[in-house]
Amino acid sequence: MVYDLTYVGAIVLHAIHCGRRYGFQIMEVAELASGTVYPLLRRLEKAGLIRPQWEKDAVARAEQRPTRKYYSVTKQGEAALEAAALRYRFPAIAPQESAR
Amino acid sequence: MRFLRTPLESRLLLSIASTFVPRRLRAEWRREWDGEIWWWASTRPGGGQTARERIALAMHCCGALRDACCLRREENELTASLGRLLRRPATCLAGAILMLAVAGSASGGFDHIRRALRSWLQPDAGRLAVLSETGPFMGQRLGVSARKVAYWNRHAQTLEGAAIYSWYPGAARDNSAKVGESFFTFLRARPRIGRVFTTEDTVSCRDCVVLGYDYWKRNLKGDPAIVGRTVTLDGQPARVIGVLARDSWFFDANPAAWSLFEPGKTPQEFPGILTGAVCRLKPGIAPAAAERELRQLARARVSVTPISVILQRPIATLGPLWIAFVLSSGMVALFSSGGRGVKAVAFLFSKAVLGLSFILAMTIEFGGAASTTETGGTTIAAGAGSLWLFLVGSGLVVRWCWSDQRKRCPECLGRLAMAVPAGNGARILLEQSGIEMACPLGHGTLFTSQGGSIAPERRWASLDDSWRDLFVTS
Repeated sequence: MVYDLTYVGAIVLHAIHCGRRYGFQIMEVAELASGTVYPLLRRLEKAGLIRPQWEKDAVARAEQRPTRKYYSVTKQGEAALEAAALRYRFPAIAPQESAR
Repeated sequence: MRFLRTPLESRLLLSIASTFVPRRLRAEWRREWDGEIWWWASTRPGGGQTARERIALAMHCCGALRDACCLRREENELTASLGRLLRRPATCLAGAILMLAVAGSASGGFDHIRRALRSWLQPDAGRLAVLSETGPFMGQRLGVSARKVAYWNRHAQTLEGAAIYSWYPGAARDNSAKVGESFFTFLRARPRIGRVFTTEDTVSCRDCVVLGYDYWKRNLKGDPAIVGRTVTLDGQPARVIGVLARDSWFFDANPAAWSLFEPGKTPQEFPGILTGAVCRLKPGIAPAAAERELRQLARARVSVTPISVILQRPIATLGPLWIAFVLSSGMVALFSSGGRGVKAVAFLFSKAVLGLSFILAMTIEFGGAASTTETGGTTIAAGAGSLWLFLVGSGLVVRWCWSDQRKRCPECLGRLAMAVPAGNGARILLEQSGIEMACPLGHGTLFTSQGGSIAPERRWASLDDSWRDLFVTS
Protein backbone atom coordinates (compact mmCIF):
# COMPACT_ATOMS: atom_id res chain seq x y z
CA MET A 1 0.00 0.00 0.00
CA VAL A 2 1.25 3.50 -0.84
CA TYR A 3 1.06 6.33 1.71
CA ASP A 4 1.83 9.18 -0.73
CA LEU A 5 2.91 11.26 2.23
CA THR A 6 4.53 14.13 0.42
CA TYR A 7 5.17 17.43 2.13
CA VAL A 8 1.76 18.82 1.24
CA GLY A 9 0.16 15.52 2.27
CA ALA A 10 1.94 15.68 5.60
CA ILE A 11 0.74 19.29 6.10
CA VAL A 12 -2.87 18.16 5.60
CA LEU A 13 -2.38 15.27 8.01
CA HIS A 14 -0.78 17.65 10.47
CA ALA A 15 -3.71 20.06 10.16
CA ILE A 16 -6.19 17.27 10.91
CA HIS A 17 -4.07 16.18 13.83
CA CYS A 18 -4.22 19.74 15.16
CA GLY A 19 -8.00 19.62 15.17
CA ARG A 20 -8.99 20.93 11.75
CA ARG A 21 -11.44 18.20 10.97
CA TYR A 22 -13.21 18.93 7.70
CA GLY A 23 -12.20 20.03 4.22
CA PHE A 24 -12.93 23.72 4.38
CA GLN A 25 -11.25 24.17 7.75
CA ILE A 26 -8.13 22.43 6.46
CA MET A 27 -8.13 24.62 3.37
CA GLU A 28 -8.35 27.72 5.48
CA VAL A 29 -5.56 26.85 7.87
CA ALA A 30 -3.19 25.40 5.30
CA GLU A 31 -4.13 28.00 2.69
CA LEU A 32 -4.31 25.28 0.08
CA ALA A 33 -6.76 25.16 -2.81
CA SER A 34 -9.80 22.87 -2.75
CA GLY A 35 -8.36 20.97 -5.73
CA THR A 36 -5.36 20.07 -3.56
CA VAL A 37 -7.00 19.34 -0.22
CA TYR A 38 -9.89 17.08 -1.22
CA PRO A 39 -7.88 14.71 -3.46
CA LEU A 40 -5.29 14.51 -0.67
CA LEU A 41 -8.02 13.64 1.83
CA ARG A 42 -9.16 10.78 -0.43
CA ARG A 43 -5.58 9.51 -0.75
CA LEU A 44 -4.89 9.72 2.96
CA GLU A 45 -8.18 7.96 3.65
CA LYS A 46 -7.35 5.23 1.16
CA ALA A 47 -3.93 4.80 2.76
CA GLY A 48 -5.62 4.37 6.15
CA LEU A 49 -3.96 7.42 7.67
CA ILE A 50 -7.23 9.25 8.34
CA ARG A 51 -10.74 8.05 9.08
CA PRO A 52 -13.89 9.87 7.94
CA GLN A 53 -17.02 10.08 10.02
CA TRP A 54 -20.33 11.82 9.36
CA GLU A 55 -21.55 13.88 12.29
CA LYS A 56 -24.93 13.14 13.81
CA ASP A 57 -27.90 14.73 12.05
CA ALA A 58 -29.26 16.05 15.33
CA VAL A 59 -26.14 18.15 15.98
CA ALA A 60 -26.24 19.70 12.52
CA ARG A 61 -29.98 20.33 12.84
CA ALA A 62 -29.51 22.07 16.15
CA GLU A 63 -26.93 24.38 14.56
CA GLN A 64 -29.12 24.89 11.48
CA ARG A 65 -26.58 23.69 8.96
CA PRO A 66 -25.91 20.63 6.78
CA THR A 67 -24.13 17.64 8.28
CA ARG A 68 -20.37 17.61 7.98
CA LYS A 69 -17.91 14.88 7.22
CA TYR A 70 -15.19 14.94 9.85
CA TYR A 71 -11.76 13.42 9.49
CA SER A 72 -9.55 12.11 12.26
CA VAL A 73 -6.04 10.72 12.25
CA THR A 74 -5.76 6.95 12.75
CA LYS A 75 -3.04 5.22 14.75
CA GLN A 76 -1.28 4.43 11.52
CA GLY A 77 -1.60 8.07 10.55
CA GLU A 78 -0.12 9.19 13.83
CA ALA A 79 2.88 6.92 13.28
CA ALA A 80 3.31 8.30 9.76
CA LEU A 81 2.98 11.84 11.04
CA GLU A 82 5.56 11.18 13.73
CA ALA A 83 7.95 9.87 11.08
CA ALA A 84 7.15 12.81 8.79
CA ALA A 85 7.79 15.28 11.60
CA LEU A 86 11.38 14.09 11.71
CA ARG A 87 11.75 14.87 8.01
CA TYR A 88 9.57 17.87 7.34
CA ARG A 89 9.38 21.17 9.14
CA PHE A 90 5.71 21.68 9.96
CA PRO A 91 4.19 25.11 10.36
CA ALA A 92 2.77 25.97 13.74
CA ILE A 93 -0.95 25.30 13.87
CA ALA A 94 -2.74 25.98 17.09
CA PRO A 95 -4.46 22.84 18.37
CA GLN A 96 -8.23 22.96 18.13
CA GLU A 97 -10.30 20.65 20.22
CA SER A 98 -13.54 20.80 18.32
CA ALA A 99 -14.81 22.25 15.11
CA ARG A 100 -17.07 25.26 15.12
CA MET B 1 -31.37 25.03 8.55
CA ARG B 2 -30.52 28.51 7.35
CA PHE B 3 -31.25 28.78 3.68
CA LEU B 4 -28.27 29.74 1.52
CA ARG B 5 -28.76 29.54 -2.19
CA THR B 6 -25.76 28.19 -4.12
CA PRO B 7 -25.15 30.30 -7.26
CA LEU B 8 -26.07 28.69 -10.57
CA GLU B 9 -22.51 28.45 -11.95
CA SER B 10 -21.27 26.69 -8.84
CA ARG B 11 -24.21 24.28 -8.87
CA LEU B 12 -23.49 23.58 -12.52
CA LEU B 13 -19.80 22.89 -11.79
CA LEU B 14 -20.72 20.54 -8.96
CA SER B 15 -23.23 18.71 -11.16
CA ILE B 16 -20.66 18.26 -13.90
CA ALA B 17 -18.04 17.11 -11.40
CA SER B 18 -20.44 14.65 -9.78
CA THR B 19 -20.84 12.79 -13.08
CA PHE B 20 -17.17 11.77 -12.81
CA VAL B 21 -17.61 10.36 -9.32
CA PRO B 22 -18.25 6.59 -9.26
CA ARG B 23 -22.00 6.01 -8.83
CA ARG B 24 -21.48 4.15 -5.53
CA LEU B 25 -19.90 7.19 -3.91
CA ARG B 26 -21.80 9.95 -5.71
CA ALA B 27 -24.51 10.71 -3.14
CA GLU B 28 -22.05 10.89 -0.26
CA TRP B 29 -19.61 12.95 -2.30
CA ARG B 30 -22.33 15.45 -3.21
CA ARG B 31 -23.48 15.64 0.40
CA GLU B 32 -19.97 16.45 1.57
CA TRP B 33 -19.48 19.13 -1.07
CA ASP B 34 -22.91 20.70 -0.42
CA GLY B 35 -21.97 20.94 3.25
CA GLU B 36 -18.60 22.47 2.44
CA ILE B 37 -20.14 25.04 0.13
CA TRP B 38 -22.73 25.96 2.71
CA TRP B 39 -19.93 26.49 5.20
CA TRP B 40 -17.92 28.50 2.71
CA ALA B 41 -20.86 30.77 1.88
CA SER B 42 -21.93 31.22 5.47
CA THR B 43 -18.53 32.59 6.45
CA ARG B 44 -18.65 35.27 3.74
CA PRO B 45 -20.13 38.69 4.53
CA GLY B 46 -22.29 38.66 1.41
CA GLY B 47 -23.41 35.06 1.92
CA GLY B 48 -21.61 34.10 -1.29
CA GLN B 49 -23.95 36.22 -3.39
CA THR B 50 -21.81 39.23 -4.38
CA ALA B 51 -20.03 39.07 -7.74
CA ARG B 52 -16.60 38.71 -6.16
CA GLU B 53 -17.77 35.97 -3.80
CA ARG B 54 -19.54 34.13 -6.58
CA ILE B 55 -16.30 34.04 -8.59
CA ALA B 56 -14.35 32.84 -5.56
CA LEU B 57 -16.97 30.16 -4.90
CA ALA B 58 -16.83 29.01 -8.51
CA MET B 59 -13.04 28.73 -8.20
CA HIS B 60 -13.56 26.69 -5.05
CA CYS B 61 -15.97 24.42 -6.94
CA CYS B 62 -13.38 23.90 -9.68
CA GLY B 63 -11.51 21.88 -7.06
CA ALA B 64 -14.51 19.53 -7.03
CA LEU B 65 -13.68 18.54 -10.61
CA ARG B 66 -10.16 17.60 -9.62
CA ASP B 67 -11.47 15.78 -6.59
CA ALA B 68 -14.01 13.85 -8.67
CA CYS B 69 -11.43 12.84 -11.27
CA CYS B 70 -9.05 11.72 -8.54
CA LEU B 71 -11.79 9.63 -6.93
CA ARG B 72 -12.71 8.03 -10.21
CA ARG B 73 -9.11 7.21 -11.04
CA GLU B 74 -8.30 5.73 -7.68
CA GLU B 75 -11.58 3.93 -7.18
CA ASN B 76 -11.00 1.79 -10.21
CA GLU B 77 -8.19 -0.67 -9.54
CA LEU B 78 -7.78 -1.29 -13.24
CA THR B 79 -7.16 2.35 -14.16
CA ALA B 80 -4.98 2.78 -11.08
CA SER B 81 -2.82 -0.20 -12.09
CA LEU B 82 -2.81 1.00 -15.69
CA GLY B 83 -1.65 4.42 -14.46
CA ARG B 84 1.18 2.76 -12.53
CA LEU B 85 2.11 0.71 -15.57
CA LEU B 86 2.18 3.77 -17.85
CA ARG B 87 4.59 5.52 -15.51
CA ARG B 88 7.34 3.01 -16.19
CA PRO B 89 10.05 3.99 -18.68
CA ALA B 90 9.78 0.66 -20.48
CA THR B 91 6.08 1.32 -21.14
CA CYS B 92 6.94 4.71 -22.61
CA LEU B 93 9.38 3.14 -25.07
CA ALA B 94 6.95 0.32 -25.83
CA GLY B 95 4.29 2.95 -26.59
CA ALA B 96 6.63 4.70 -29.02
CA ILE B 97 7.42 1.39 -30.74
CA LEU B 98 3.69 0.64 -30.93
CA MET B 99 3.08 4.01 -32.60
CA LEU B 100 5.74 3.17 -35.17
CA ALA B 101 4.10 -0.21 -35.75
CA VAL B 102 0.69 1.43 -36.26
CA ALA B 103 2.25 3.90 -38.72
CA GLY B 104 3.86 0.94 -40.50
CA SER B 105 0.63 -0.98 -40.87
CA ALA B 106 -1.31 2.13 -41.94
CA SER B 107 1.20 2.78 -44.70
CA GLY B 108 1.32 -0.80 -45.94
CA GLY B 109 4.60 -1.60 -44.20
CA PHE B 110 6.34 1.71 -44.98
CA ASP B 111 5.74 1.12 -48.67
CA HIS B 112 7.27 4.32 -49.96
CA ILE B 113 10.38 4.03 -47.79
CA ARG B 114 10.91 0.41 -48.81
CA ARG B 115 10.63 1.31 -52.51
CA ALA B 116 13.06 4.18 -52.08
CA LEU B 117 15.57 1.97 -50.27
CA ARG B 118 15.18 -0.74 -52.89
CA SER B 119 15.87 1.81 -55.64
CA TRP B 120 19.12 2.66 -53.85
CA LEU B 121 20.17 -0.96 -53.90
CA GLN B 122 19.29 -1.68 -57.56
CA PRO B 123 22.08 -0.52 -59.86
CA ASP B 124 19.63 -0.44 -62.78
CA ALA B 125 17.05 1.75 -61.02
CA GLY B 126 18.43 5.05 -62.29
CA ARG B 127 17.78 4.10 -65.93
CA LEU B 128 14.00 4.28 -65.67
CA ALA B 129 13.01 7.92 -65.93
CA VAL B 130 9.98 10.13 -66.34
CA LEU B 131 9.87 12.61 -69.22
CA SER B 132 8.14 15.89 -68.59
CA GLU B 133 8.03 19.27 -70.21
CA THR B 134 8.95 22.01 -67.82
CA GLY B 135 6.53 24.87 -67.56
CA PRO B 136 7.61 28.49 -67.44
CA PHE B 137 6.40 28.91 -63.85
CA MET B 138 8.95 27.79 -61.25
CA GLY B 139 9.91 24.71 -63.26
CA GLN B 140 6.47 23.17 -62.90
CA ARG B 141 6.42 19.74 -64.54
CA LEU B 142 3.72 19.13 -67.08
CA GLY B 143 2.83 16.19 -69.26
CA VAL B 144 4.40 15.65 -72.67
CA SER B 145 2.99 15.53 -76.16
CA ALA B 146 2.47 12.03 -77.59
CA ARG B 147 3.84 13.20 -80.95
CA LYS B 148 7.10 14.27 -79.34
CA VAL B 149 7.43 10.91 -77.59
CA ALA B 150 6.92 9.13 -80.91
CA TYR B 151 9.59 11.38 -82.47
CA TRP B 152 12.05 10.71 -79.65
CA ASN B 153 11.42 7.01 -79.96
CA ARG B 154 12.49 7.17 -83.59
CA HIS B 155 15.50 9.49 -83.25
CA ALA B 156 16.88 9.57 -79.70
CA GLN B 157 20.23 7.78 -79.34
CA THR B 158 20.34 7.97 -75.56
CA LEU B 159 17.05 6.15 -74.94
CA GLU B 160 16.19 2.47 -75.23
CA GLY B 161 12.67 3.74 -75.80
CA ALA B 162 9.81 5.72 -74.31
CA ALA B 163 6.14 5.01 -73.72
CA ILE B 164 3.25 7.31 -72.96
CA TYR B 165 0.75 6.90 -70.18
CA SER B 166 -2.29 8.82 -69.11
CA TRP B 167 -4.77 8.64 -66.26
CA TYR B 168 -7.98 10.09 -65.08
CA PRO B 169 -7.04 12.36 -62.23
CA GLY B 170 -8.46 11.55 -58.83
CA ALA B 171 -11.02 8.82 -58.39
CA ALA B 172 -13.02 9.60 -61.50
CA ARG B 173 -14.72 6.59 -62.97
CA ASP B 174 -12.77 3.46 -62.10
CA ASN B 175 -9.53 5.43 -61.99
CA SER B 176 -8.29 3.65 -65.07
CA ALA B 177 -5.15 4.52 -67.01
CA LYS B 178 -4.11 4.17 -70.62
CA VAL B 179 -0.60 3.22 -71.63
CA GLY B 180 1.56 2.65 -74.67
CA GLU B 181 2.26 -1.00 -75.50
CA SER B 182 5.87 -0.92 -74.24
CA PHE B 183 5.05 0.87 -70.97
CA PHE B 184 5.22 -2.25 -68.81
CA THR B 185 8.31 -3.48 -70.62
CA PHE B 186 10.19 -0.31 -69.71
CA LEU B 187 8.82 -0.44 -66.20
CA ARG B 188 9.93 -4.09 -65.85
CA ALA B 189 6.51 -4.70 -64.28
CA ARG B 190 5.80 -8.35 -63.52
CA PRO B 191 2.31 -9.82 -63.70
CA ARG B 192 1.00 -11.76 -60.73
CA ILE B 193 -1.19 -13.82 -63.02
CA GLY B 194 -1.58 -13.74 -66.80
CA ARG B 195 0.62 -11.32 -68.72
CA VAL B 196 1.16 -7.63 -69.47
CA PHE B 197 0.84 -5.88 -72.87
CA THR B 198 3.02 -6.67 -75.84
CA THR B 199 3.40 -4.91 -79.21
CA GLU B 200 0.97 -7.34 -80.89
CA ASP B 201 -1.80 -6.33 -78.51
CA THR B 202 -2.30 -2.96 -80.27
CA VAL B 203 -3.93 -4.87 -83.12
CA SER B 204 -5.33 -8.04 -81.64
CA CYS B 205 -6.28 -7.02 -78.14
CA ARG B 206 -7.85 -3.57 -78.23
CA ASP B 207 -10.39 -4.34 -75.49
CA CYS B 208 -7.83 -5.95 -73.20
CA VAL B 209 -6.97 -4.68 -69.73
CA VAL B 210 -4.37 -5.43 -67.10
CA LEU B 211 -5.83 -5.08 -63.62
CA GLY B 212 -4.13 -3.40 -60.69
CA TYR B 213 -3.45 -5.69 -57.71
CA ASP B 214 -5.55 -3.69 -55.22
CA TYR B 215 -8.59 -3.56 -57.51
CA TRP B 216 -8.33 -7.28 -58.25
CA LYS B 217 -8.02 -8.13 -54.59
CA ARG B 218 -10.73 -5.75 -53.37
CA ASN B 219 -13.38 -5.79 -56.11
CA LEU B 220 -12.86 -9.23 -57.59
CA LYS B 221 -11.91 -10.93 -54.31
CA GLY B 222 -8.57 -12.05 -55.76
CA ASP B 223 -10.24 -14.44 -58.24
CA PRO B 224 -7.35 -16.56 -59.61
CA ALA B 225 -9.38 -17.50 -62.70
CA ILE B 226 -10.00 -13.91 -63.78
CA VAL B 227 -7.63 -14.05 -66.77
CA GLY B 228 -9.63 -14.41 -70.00
CA ARG B 229 -12.88 -13.25 -68.42
CA THR B 230 -14.73 -10.06 -69.29
CA VAL B 231 -15.31 -7.38 -66.64
CA THR B 232 -17.12 -4.05 -66.87
CA LEU B 233 -14.92 -0.99 -66.38
CA ASP B 234 -16.18 2.56 -66.84
CA GLY B 235 -19.37 1.00 -68.24
CA GLN B 236 -17.45 -0.79 -71.00
CA PRO B 237 -16.74 -4.53 -71.27
CA ALA B 238 -13.05 -5.36 -71.03
CA ARG B 239 -11.13 -8.60 -71.34
CA VAL B 240 -8.65 -9.29 -68.55
CA ILE B 241 -5.26 -10.52 -69.73
CA GLY B 242 -3.40 -10.22 -66.45
CA VAL B 243 -3.09 -8.81 -62.97
CA LEU B 244 -0.06 -6.81 -61.89
CA ALA B 245 2.08 -8.05 -59.01
CA ARG B 246 1.49 -6.54 -55.59
CA ASP B 247 4.71 -4.53 -55.58
CA SER B 248 4.13 -3.06 -59.06
CA TRP B 249 3.95 0.65 -58.61
CA PHE B 250 3.96 3.75 -60.68
CA PHE B 251 3.54 6.93 -58.66
CA ASP B 252 0.46 7.01 -56.54
CA ALA B 253 -2.32 6.86 -59.09
CA ASN B 254 -2.65 3.14 -58.49
CA PRO B 255 -5.19 2.67 -61.29
CA ALA B 256 -7.80 -0.06 -61.12
CA ALA B 257 -7.05 -1.11 -64.69
CA TRP B 258 -4.62 -0.37 -67.45
CA SER B 259 -5.62 -0.43 -71.11
CA LEU B 260 -3.91 0.47 -74.38
CA PHE B 261 -4.34 3.72 -76.26
CA GLU B 262 -6.55 3.19 -79.24
CA PRO B 263 -4.46 3.04 -82.42
CA GLY B 264 -4.84 6.10 -84.60
CA LYS B 265 -6.02 8.19 -81.71
CA THR B 266 -3.56 10.44 -79.94
CA PRO B 267 -3.97 11.00 -76.20
CA GLN B 268 -4.83 14.65 -76.85
CA GLU B 269 -8.12 13.47 -78.25
CA PHE B 270 -9.20 12.46 -74.75
CA PRO B 271 -10.17 15.66 -73.03
CA GLY B 272 -9.66 15.90 -69.29
CA ILE B 273 -6.91 13.33 -69.07
CA LEU B 274 -3.24 13.97 -68.41
CA THR B 275 -0.43 12.46 -70.45
CA GLY B 276 3.07 11.64 -69.31
CA ALA B 277 5.91 9.51 -70.62
CA VAL B 278 8.30 7.04 -69.15
CA CYS B 279 11.59 6.10 -70.77
CA ARG B 280 14.52 3.76 -70.23
CA LEU B 281 17.97 5.21 -70.70
CA LYS B 282 20.64 3.21 -72.47
CA PRO B 283 23.27 1.74 -70.10
CA GLY B 284 25.86 4.29 -69.03
CA ILE B 285 23.83 7.31 -70.21
CA ALA B 286 23.33 10.01 -67.61
CA PRO B 287 19.88 11.66 -67.36
CA ALA B 288 21.49 15.04 -68.11
CA ALA B 289 22.88 13.73 -71.42
CA ALA B 290 19.49 12.35 -72.41
CA GLU B 291 17.89 15.63 -71.44
CA ARG B 292 20.30 17.58 -73.66
CA GLU B 293 19.60 15.33 -76.64
CA LEU B 294 15.82 15.41 -76.23
CA ARG B 295 15.85 19.19 -75.90
CA GLN B 296 17.80 19.49 -79.12
CA LEU B 297 15.53 17.08 -80.95
CA ALA B 298 12.23 18.62 -79.86
CA ARG B 299 13.29 22.19 -79.18
CA ALA B 300 11.39 22.00 -75.93
CA ARG B 301 12.20 22.36 -72.23
CA VAL B 302 12.28 18.66 -71.42
CA SER B 303 13.21 17.18 -68.09
CA VAL B 304 14.41 13.59 -67.57
CA THR B 305 14.01 12.53 -63.96
CA PRO B 306 14.95 9.01 -62.85
CA ILE B 307 12.20 7.39 -60.83
CA SER B 308 14.76 6.48 -58.17
CA VAL B 309 15.40 10.22 -57.69
CA ILE B 310 11.67 10.89 -57.34
CA LEU B 311 11.33 8.05 -54.83
CA GLN B 312 14.35 9.14 -52.82
CA ARG B 313 13.46 12.84 -52.86
CA PRO B 314 11.51 12.92 -49.55
CA ILE B 315 14.25 10.94 -47.79
CA ALA B 316 16.97 13.13 -49.30
CA THR B 317 15.12 16.26 -48.13
CA LEU B 318 14.02 15.16 -44.68
CA GLY B 319 16.80 12.69 -43.81
CA PRO B 320 19.43 15.36 -42.98
CA LEU B 321 16.85 17.25 -40.90
CA TRP B 322 16.03 14.04 -39.02
CA ILE B 323 19.73 13.46 -38.33
CA ALA B 324 20.06 17.07 -37.12
CA PHE B 325 17.10 16.64 -34.74
CA VAL B 326 18.42 13.30 -33.45
CA LEU B 327 21.91 14.71 -32.86
CA SER B 328 20.59 17.79 -31.10
CA SER B 329 18.35 15.72 -28.84
CA GLY B 330 21.38 13.54 -28.09
CA MET B 331 23.34 16.66 -27.11
CA VAL B 332 20.44 17.86 -24.94
CA ALA B 333 20.31 14.43 -23.28
CA LEU B 334 24.04 14.56 -22.54
CA PHE B 335 24.10 18.12 -21.21
CA SER B 336 20.91 17.84 -19.19
CA SER B 337 21.78 14.54 -17.51
CA GLY B 338 23.73 16.39 -14.83
CA GLY B 339 25.91 13.35 -14.33
CA ARG B 340 22.94 11.19 -13.35
CA GLY B 341 24.10 8.31 -15.44
CA VAL B 342 23.94 6.63 -18.78
CA LYS B 343 20.45 5.26 -18.17
CA ALA B 344 18.75 8.67 -18.17
CA VAL B 345 20.67 9.81 -21.26
CA ALA B 346 19.89 6.59 -23.13
CA PHE B 347 16.21 6.83 -22.20
CA LEU B 348 15.82 10.43 -23.38
CA PHE B 349 17.76 9.69 -26.55
CA SER B 350 15.74 6.53 -27.33
CA LYS B 351 12.46 8.38 -26.81
CA ALA B 352 13.58 11.16 -29.14
CA VAL B 353 14.84 8.76 -31.84
CA LEU B 354 11.63 6.71 -31.81
CA GLY B 355 9.39 9.79 -31.82
CA LEU B 356 11.35 11.49 -34.60
CA SER B 357 11.36 8.30 -36.65
CA PHE B 358 7.59 8.15 -36.31
CA ILE B 359 7.25 11.72 -37.60
CA LEU B 360 9.73 11.06 -40.43
CA ALA B 361 7.94 7.89 -41.51
CA MET B 362 4.51 9.54 -41.43
CA THR B 363 5.75 12.56 -43.42
CA ILE B 364 7.45 10.45 -46.08
CA GLU B 365 4.68 7.90 -46.39
CA PHE B 366 1.72 10.27 -46.49
CA GLY B 367 3.15 13.73 -47.16
CA GLY B 368 5.69 12.53 -49.73
CA ALA B 369 3.13 10.48 -51.60
CA ALA B 370 0.59 13.32 -51.58
CA SER B 371 3.07 15.86 -52.86
CA THR B 372 4.38 13.82 -55.81
CA THR B 373 2.57 14.49 -59.07
CA GLU B 374 2.08 11.95 -61.83
CA THR B 375 4.75 13.72 -63.88
CA GLY B 376 7.30 13.27 -61.10
CA GLY B 377 7.19 16.83 -59.84
CA THR B 378 6.28 18.11 -56.43
CA THR B 379 3.17 20.15 -55.80
CA ILE B 380 4.29 23.38 -54.18
CA ALA B 381 1.62 23.45 -51.48
CA ALA B 382 1.85 19.77 -50.52
CA GLY B 383 5.66 19.79 -50.67
CA ALA B 384 5.95 22.79 -48.38
CA GLY B 385 3.17 21.33 -46.22
CA SER B 386 5.12 18.10 -45.75
CA LEU B 387 8.24 20.01 -44.75
CA TRP B 388 6.32 22.08 -42.23
CA LEU B 389 4.55 19.01 -40.92
CA PHE B 390 7.91 17.40 -40.32
CA LEU B 391 9.48 20.47 -38.70
CA VAL B 392 6.52 21.18 -36.42
CA GLY B 393 6.02 17.49 -35.57
CA SER B 394 9.71 17.03 -34.76
CA GLY B 395 9.76 20.18 -32.66
CA LEU B 396 6.79 18.95 -30.66
CA VAL B 397 8.34 15.50 -30.21
CA VAL B 398 11.63 16.93 -28.92
CA ARG B 399 9.78 19.31 -26.62
CA TRP B 400 7.57 16.52 -25.25
CA CYS B 401 10.58 14.24 -24.69
CA TRP B 402 12.30 17.01 -22.74
CA SER B 403 9.28 17.92 -20.62
CA ASP B 404 8.50 14.23 -19.98
CA GLN B 405 12.06 13.69 -18.81
CA ARG B 406 11.73 16.55 -16.36
CA LYS B 407 8.72 14.86 -14.78
CA ARG B 408 10.58 11.63 -14.14
CA CYS B 409 12.46 10.35 -11.15
CA PRO B 410 16.18 10.70 -11.88
CA GLU B 411 16.85 7.39 -10.17
CA CYS B 412 14.25 4.95 -11.49
CA LEU B 413 13.08 7.09 -14.47
CA GLY B 414 9.47 6.37 -13.47
CA ARG B 415 7.07 9.21 -14.13
CA LEU B 416 6.46 11.21 -10.96
CA ALA B 417 2.98 10.98 -9.51
CA MET B 418 0.63 12.55 -6.98
CA ALA B 419 1.01 16.06 -8.31
CA VAL B 420 -0.45 18.54 -5.85
CA PRO B 421 -0.50 22.25 -6.42
CA ALA B 422 1.01 24.09 -3.50
CA GLY B 423 -0.29 27.16 -5.22
CA ASN B 424 -1.27 30.71 -4.52
CA GLY B 425 -2.79 30.41 -1.10
CA ALA B 426 0.04 28.25 0.13
CA ARG B 427 2.44 31.17 0.28
CA ILE B 428 2.17 31.62 4.04
CA LEU B 429 2.79 28.08 5.19
CA LEU B 430 4.88 26.78 2.33
CA GLU B 431 6.48 30.13 1.50
CA GLN B 432 6.31 29.41 -2.18
CA SER B 433 3.95 28.44 -4.94
CA GLY B 434 4.34 25.53 -7.29
CA ILE B 435 3.60 21.86 -7.86
CA GLU B 436 4.88 19.05 -5.72
CA MET B 437 5.28 15.58 -7.16
CA ALA B 438 6.71 12.41 -5.71
CA CYS B 439 8.34 9.28 -7.06
CA PRO B 440 5.86 6.43 -6.50
CA LEU B 441 8.75 4.27 -5.32
CA GLY B 442 9.79 6.86 -2.75
CA HIS B 443 13.09 7.90 -4.31
CA GLY B 444 12.31 11.56 -3.74
CA THR B 445 10.06 14.53 -4.31
CA LEU B 446 10.19 17.26 -6.90
CA PHE B 447 9.00 20.78 -6.32
CA THR B 448 8.46 22.85 -9.47
CA SER B 449 8.01 26.55 -8.92
CA GLN B 450 5.22 28.16 -10.92
CA GLY B 451 6.90 31.54 -11.01
CA GLY B 452 6.52 34.57 -8.76
CA SER B 453 8.58 32.84 -6.14
CA ILE B 454 12.10 33.31 -4.89
CA ALA B 455 12.45 29.54 -4.63
CA PRO B 456 14.53 27.70 -7.27
CA GLU B 457 12.54 26.72 -10.36
CA ARG B 458 13.00 23.00 -9.72
CA ARG B 459 14.09 21.32 -6.56
CA TRP B 460 14.59 17.57 -6.38
CA ALA B 461 14.80 16.22 -2.86
CA SER B 462 16.35 12.79 -2.88
CA LEU B 463 15.06 10.55 -0.11
CA ASP B 464 17.16 7.73 1.28
CA ASP B 465 15.88 4.35 2.42
CA SER B 466 14.95 5.66 5.84
CA TRP B 467 12.13 7.64 4.18
CA ARG B 468 10.70 4.60 2.48
CA ASP B 469 8.18 4.00 5.28
CA LEU B 470 6.44 7.25 4.42
CA PHE B 471 5.85 6.21 0.87
CA VAL B 472 5.72 2.47 0.49
CA THR B 473 4.57 -0.11 2.97
CA SER B 474 3.88 -3.74 2.39
